[in-house]
Amino acid sequence: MMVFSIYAGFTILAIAYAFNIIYLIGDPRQLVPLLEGLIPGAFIFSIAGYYLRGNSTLFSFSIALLGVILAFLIIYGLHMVLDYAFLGMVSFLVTSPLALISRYLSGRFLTRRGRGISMPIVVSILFLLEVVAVAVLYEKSGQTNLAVQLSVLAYVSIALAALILITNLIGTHEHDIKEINR
Amino acid sequence: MRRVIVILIISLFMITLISPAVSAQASSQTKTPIKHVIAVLFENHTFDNFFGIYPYDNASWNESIIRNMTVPENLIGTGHLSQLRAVPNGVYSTPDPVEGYTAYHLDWNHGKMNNFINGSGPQSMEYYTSYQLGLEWSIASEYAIADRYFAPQLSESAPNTLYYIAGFSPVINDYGPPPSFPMSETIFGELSHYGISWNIYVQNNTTGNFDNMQHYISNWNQYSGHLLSWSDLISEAQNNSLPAVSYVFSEGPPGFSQAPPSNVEKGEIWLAYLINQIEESPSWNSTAIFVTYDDPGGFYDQVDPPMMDGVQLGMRLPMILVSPFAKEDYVSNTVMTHTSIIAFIDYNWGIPALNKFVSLSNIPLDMFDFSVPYKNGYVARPPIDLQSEQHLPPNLHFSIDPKVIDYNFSGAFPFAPQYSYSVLPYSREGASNVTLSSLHYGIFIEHDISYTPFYYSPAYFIIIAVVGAVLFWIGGEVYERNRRH
Repeated sequence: MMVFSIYAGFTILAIAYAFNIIYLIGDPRQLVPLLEGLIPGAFIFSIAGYYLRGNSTLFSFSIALLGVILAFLIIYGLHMVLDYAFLGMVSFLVTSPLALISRYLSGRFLTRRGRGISMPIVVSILFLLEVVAVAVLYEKSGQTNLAVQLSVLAYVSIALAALILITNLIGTHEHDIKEINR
Repeated sequence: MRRVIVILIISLFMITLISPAVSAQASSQTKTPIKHVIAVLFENHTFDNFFGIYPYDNASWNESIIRNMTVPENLIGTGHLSQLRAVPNGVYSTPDPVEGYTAYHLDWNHGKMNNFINGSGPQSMEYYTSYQLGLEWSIASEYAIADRYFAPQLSESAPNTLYYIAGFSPVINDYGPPPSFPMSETIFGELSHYGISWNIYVQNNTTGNFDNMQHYISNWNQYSGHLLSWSDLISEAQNNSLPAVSYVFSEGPPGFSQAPPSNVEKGEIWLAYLINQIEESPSWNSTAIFVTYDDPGGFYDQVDPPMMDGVQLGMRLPMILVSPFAKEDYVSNTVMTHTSIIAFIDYNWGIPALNKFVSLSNIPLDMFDFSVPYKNGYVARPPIDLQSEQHLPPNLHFSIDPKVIDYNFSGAFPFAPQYSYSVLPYSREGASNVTLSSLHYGIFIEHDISYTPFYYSPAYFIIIAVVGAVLFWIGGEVYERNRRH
């Protein structure tokens, strides 16, 4: 779950970076409306993704895409002048990819009994902790080099994704050897 | 035939002399008696926040001088004053308003200037008085102040400071760098190109930092030797070895920049010390000191900023000119912005406008008197020993690092005029619309270019996110296949 939370955090921060809103985490006063959108967004979209695990991927993909497109339209429709209400709304919408991530995580990696609803909740909490950590580092660095922090997250996310792929490929390889030996 | 050739050669020589200096030759000649420009940058105050009731002072030692002073476009009699709070006597700082592109655009409200409480917050609705700023007000009244000097951008520090040094900004807020741009696009790059000396001064140059601007200049390391300390500036002034152009940044250590929530008197006394040191130096007779603020800081201002070359300017900022050639008690109504200082530098040294925006910026020429002598026959004004002004608090000690602050300066305002207002050989208010474009100067950088490395671009991060998703998807499919088996 930690792996997916890091990836989810990076993805959402990357979208917010592309939309020119994530640098607002450098000001504690603007972090509040940002978190007012990010916190409910994280929980709502990730829980929605969990409940959509039996449905077509297209459905959760559409939710994620629609959220991002709506956020884009609000930002550029208002010429980037977002009051706190719109800032909260946009930050809520940019968390929509969590629906897809959570749906995929529930449907593939975490289908064993006992995990249940705790999975999207834990992913959401870890994601929010990641955002706060980035905000603290950004503020401490004098609000510079946000891109460097994002690139670190990017490399960690890619490395973790590759690690999971390799681990499973090795598992497949061992399974095939067992099949041959049988 | 020989005669024709001689005439042709002489004509060519004359044309070379009178044409604008667009060549890369070093220019030691100046258009004015100014040989040293010192630009001092403070932070985060609007004109109305610092000079909103200037020169009104009900505790002044001499109200008759005040009654005769030139009044800028201030808050008195406008009806706006009742919405604002005066910072009380004995208080020297205010809470920090919300800053940024969004907050300032909300404040501005499409020119209505009536939404500060929702944008920058209730803390934006305050203004200082002579209690805190009597010393800075006195400096302004002795020399010249502009009341139509606007921030170049309706945003916070980074874009405005970039305009201050480069006449453009590749960012609209404080989120960079990246992008970055080469030194050649800054005024420092242009001065280097023409062999004109310059330095940047900060409190501690060993950190290599000047207001975080060095991060935006891709090849700053090649020029880092130009970063010196405030003490170096004073030594150079005293040794008469000041460079042609000096940019002094107050930002860095807490308090000096006057940015809220710091005590505004720390920067004020530091400024008075700096000016006093220049006035007492042999450099005084050929120096112009421009004092301004990087951005409005979220504070209220009543004037709807105009547009310039398609750019929406930001709120009014204070700008004071101190020079032996600055007019006394002068208020300039010229529409100016940070690039007006660059325009003056380019004008003075006869070099092309740094870029198109600079070429269209009004040059603050009306604030100077370079030609009409005073009654004593001199054009240049003698130095004023600010520290010896008799109405200043007796225990006030001018210092580069003022430790004792919290003075009531209202009794010290205004300093006695150097010349009686009635005998000044010029009007004490005016405007000019001289630009480098109108003078047919060339343009040094036709198109400013900034650069973001691909690995820091939004597109790159989105690609990485998609690649990550694909890897996770394949990993998930493999995992599922293993699980089913």
